Amino acid sequence: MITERPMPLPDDATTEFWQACQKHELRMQRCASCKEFRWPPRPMCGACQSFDSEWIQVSGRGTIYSYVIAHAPMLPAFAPRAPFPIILVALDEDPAMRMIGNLIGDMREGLQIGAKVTVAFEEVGEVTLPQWKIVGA
Amino acid sequence: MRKSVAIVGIGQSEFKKNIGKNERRIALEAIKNALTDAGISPHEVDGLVRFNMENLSEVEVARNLGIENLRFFGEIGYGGGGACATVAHAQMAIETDRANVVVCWRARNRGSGVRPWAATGNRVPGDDQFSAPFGCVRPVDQIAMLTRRYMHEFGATWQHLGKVAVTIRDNATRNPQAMMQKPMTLADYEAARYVSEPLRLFDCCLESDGALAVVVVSAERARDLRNKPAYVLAASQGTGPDHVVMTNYYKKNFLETPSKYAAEELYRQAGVTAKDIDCAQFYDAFTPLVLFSLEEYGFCKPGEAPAFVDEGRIGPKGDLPVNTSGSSLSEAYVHGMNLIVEGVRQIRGTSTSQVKDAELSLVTSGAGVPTSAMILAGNPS
Ligand SMILES: [Zn+2]
Repeated sequence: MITERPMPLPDDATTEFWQACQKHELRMQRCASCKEFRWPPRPMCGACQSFDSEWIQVSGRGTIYSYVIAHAPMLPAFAPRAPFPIILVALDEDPAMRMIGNLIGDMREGLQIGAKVTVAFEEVGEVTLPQWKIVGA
Repeated sequence: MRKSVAIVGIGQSEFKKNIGKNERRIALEAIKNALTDAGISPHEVDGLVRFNMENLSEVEVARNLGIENLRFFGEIGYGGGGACATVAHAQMAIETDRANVVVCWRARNRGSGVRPWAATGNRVPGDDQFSAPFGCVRPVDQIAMLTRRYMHEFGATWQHLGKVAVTIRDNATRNPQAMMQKPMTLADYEAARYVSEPLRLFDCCLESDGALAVVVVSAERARDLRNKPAYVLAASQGTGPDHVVMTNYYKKNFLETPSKYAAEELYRQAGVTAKDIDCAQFYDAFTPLVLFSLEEYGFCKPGEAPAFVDEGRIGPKGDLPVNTSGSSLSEAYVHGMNLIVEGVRQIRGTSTSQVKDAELSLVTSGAGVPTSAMILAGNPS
């Protein structure tokens, strides 16, 4: 069992997403041909089969679509935080584009489906993760 | 083709938290038991279908069984989604004259072995790179995420989940092979700890060591064997659009699972509807999957499964008795292979929670992952 927190292994389709996060920008992959978002990022557009994409900076605003409160047992890296929330955020630009994340500080105030959130970047070692804050909490 | 093949042999090991034997040994025991049950010599086996997560290879099975000419072998992916698909592939091999006697099996020491999520690496590739860094690595978290949304949209409560767990435990108490023999009340269910809210301990399947195998032959051959054949009326696979295995968060219709597509294909092949089904073994790695499956396999409309459960309709005296062996929640979790074996017992009339005159027996595989399903039938014509 690993003791470190698992971190992303970027690939040819996802490197630009993580590089944008390092600049504290939330950029989503969009088909350069038909303008459909591709999330999670992938090489080909399922709508038009184009390999071309562009990285669109989005507002970083969204809504909590669902969430869980994770209890033990879990990976050792997360255990000291347990129980803690994992949320699913539907982005304002396209509610079908949903991102898994956490709430900064694992704050639970205002945590419910429908709560408005904004992105908040968290540095973990060399990686920057997109996390979330509940608006008004 | 309808009823072109039948399951004529079923076999299993014991089910335990720690069986004290390795997966190879219990797989061979289950396969040997299934062939003995069928009354077919291991030398006649010429086809094998395994899960791609299975640790035991076909050649090792062939060498131990003394199979002389293994002329068909294949494997199915997607963990628990693959159980019924092993039989579906056996069916196609027999229909196309690529094999005469096909054995499908699953052996898994998951009770004494490691939890797969605990082996998450330091650097996570693929789609999981967007969920693992946030602590979302366990299947229970992934299914709890779907469950919370389902409860929100349809007003389902913990009591509905609890009633699924209690009903299935009740079935297990009649099955001497089941790991969980102790009766459970709704209060017991509620008192157990959370694992991933809204899911509690008894919403989760067991961690088991165990193995099961089935023997598939042509309908023609089945007629001459000792057991009442369980004819394969239909067997299907399905995924649906834009699917991302367990982390099924990204598709347009969030609550739709691959089961919906497997179900449509199943009923299309079978020429029957949900109304014709006498009993069902639904894949139950977690209780909410039973609710989702009741809807996606057409027993009620979206959002109506909680009421269906509340009315006692999934119990042994209900109009659709489900998971009559105790299944993944209370018998053993062996990637749903025990659901197939129980589906066969219902056709034979040998279940410990037997449905009277069961003619059509539905078995489903992993919900929330690319999946498969089948309908077994007792009547050859
Ligand atoms: Zn496109």
